[in-house]
Amino acid sequence: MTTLTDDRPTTPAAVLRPALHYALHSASLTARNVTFVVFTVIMPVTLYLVFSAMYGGGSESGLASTMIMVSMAAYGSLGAAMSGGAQLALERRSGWFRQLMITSVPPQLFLWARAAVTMCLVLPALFLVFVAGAVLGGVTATAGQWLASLGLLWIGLLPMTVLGMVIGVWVKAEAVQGVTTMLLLALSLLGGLWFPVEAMPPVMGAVAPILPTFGLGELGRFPFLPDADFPWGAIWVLLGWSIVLTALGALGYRRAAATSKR
Amino acid sequence: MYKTHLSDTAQPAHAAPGSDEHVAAVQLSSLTKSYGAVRAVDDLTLRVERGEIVAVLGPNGAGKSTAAEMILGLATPDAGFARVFGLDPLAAVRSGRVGAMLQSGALLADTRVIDILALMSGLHAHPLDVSEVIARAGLDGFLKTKTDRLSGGQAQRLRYALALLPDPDLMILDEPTVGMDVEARREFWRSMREFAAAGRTVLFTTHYLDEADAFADRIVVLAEGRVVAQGTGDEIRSRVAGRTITLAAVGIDPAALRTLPGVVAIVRVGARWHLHTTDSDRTLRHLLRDDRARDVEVTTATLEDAFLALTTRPDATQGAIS
Repeated sequence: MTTLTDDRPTTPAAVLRPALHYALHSASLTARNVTFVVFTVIMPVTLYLVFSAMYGGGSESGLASTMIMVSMAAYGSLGAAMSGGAQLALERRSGWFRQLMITSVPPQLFLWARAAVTMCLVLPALFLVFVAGAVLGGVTATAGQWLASLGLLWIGLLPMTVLGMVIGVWVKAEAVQGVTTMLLLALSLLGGLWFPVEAMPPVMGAVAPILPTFGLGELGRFPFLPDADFPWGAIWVLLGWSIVLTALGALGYRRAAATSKR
Repeated sequence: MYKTHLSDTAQPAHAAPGSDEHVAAVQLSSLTKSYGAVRAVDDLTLRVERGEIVAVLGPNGAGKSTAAEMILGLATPDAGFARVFGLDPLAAVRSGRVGAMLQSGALLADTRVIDILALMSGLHAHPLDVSEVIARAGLDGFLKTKTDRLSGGQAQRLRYALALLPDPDLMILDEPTVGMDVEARREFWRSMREFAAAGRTVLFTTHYLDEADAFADRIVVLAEGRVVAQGTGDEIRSRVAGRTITLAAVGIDPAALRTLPGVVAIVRVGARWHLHTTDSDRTLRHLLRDDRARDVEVTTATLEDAFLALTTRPDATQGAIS
């Protein structure tokens, strides 16, 4: 009757402690990878500077430059968020996955732990684009606005980080880079990070609101927009994506662990 | 540290309290798994008692690795089930009672040995001290070496260390000594014996007969996903009743050899044919009618011969050994 149940009680702490341990160790290992850090921090800032120089100048209110700053912070950190999956794909191809499966940690927690690591690694990108906006882009705002936008963008990146994981779990290591770039561009474009949804053809404009990138942009812009209502719709869309993608990732993890040698 | 049970066998300190002594370490019941059209494991039933050291022996494609994966919960059986200490394999793994050395198992790329140990030790329910693992697996000389720079033998020692780390009651070792030289193999088995002496259960797969014979309490011979024989090395030898006839290979038609009465398997070794036969007298009588049969010798079957006979044509030999 009880033969199939574990004879040791599994408390949340007993499971979370190793997951946290994994997150910290992975973060420290990744942070020591110089190319990874330079690529995910320098690139978004450069992109912002290029784009604000091209389109942001001459705006009297400074709102255009602010909107570009938010969009580029979102786009740049999106790249950092989704690149977490590449590391996962490498570990998958090598078979290290299977070693992780033979531990006390359930696979979903590995996914969340790695997502947590990636969420930390997107912060420098967000932060530095904002600094560039304030120092070089002439964006002026209250401390509250800065913090609110930063925090909301950060929350909005969660499903995108998980999307990176899902790609890393489901897509062949050789194809991860291509798939990630393609999705990154498609989602940025259709989600209105490159130009406003209002400027899109009606069909594209109709798709935009259900995309996580659209929600991300909405959240990031909100604190800088005077008299705007809080975009609750964006929250629900992002939450929905988080749940679906996490389920997809957990499924893929099991599958990858069972077949990575074949 | 160890509590003594009625059986007088010391059990690892974390053997489950109140656990049933009669629950097998590993119980496989009618386990079946196919990959596409290939039936990797076919109706496999096997019981490994606690404290046993069991070798699973078989040629490539016999289903050894697939069976190991199902015991670890890495693969799900199509039919039948696996139990580890009476638990579902995943539950047993989660509770840290199972350690495993995967076949050519991957290591985290571009990472120092000591960092891998620190990372993995935090992921187990009740890990051994990292220092103890380092000593047992002999990692002292290359703790700060990155995984990409390890020699084959060093990498294998690290994999062994990762299997020790959970302080398991059951060790699953899938071809643990592949790529090790003779000295490294001897050292590995010495350490393994020492670790198993405390009443731990070990199930390992191997190609090497001598290894199975020397280190296992019991050998299970697998062919085409099924158990074709099991017992000690001596038992397997004796159960393959019969002799080996060898003769010079010059001018001999192997098809004719195969059809001689009593012959269950033929193998070419160098310039000679080895015939495994259940009735050497009758085989010889027919064989010697052919003038081309030269330099004929008759010997008692070696373990190697028995293994070949058992795994080459399981259908033909099963009648002979059961």
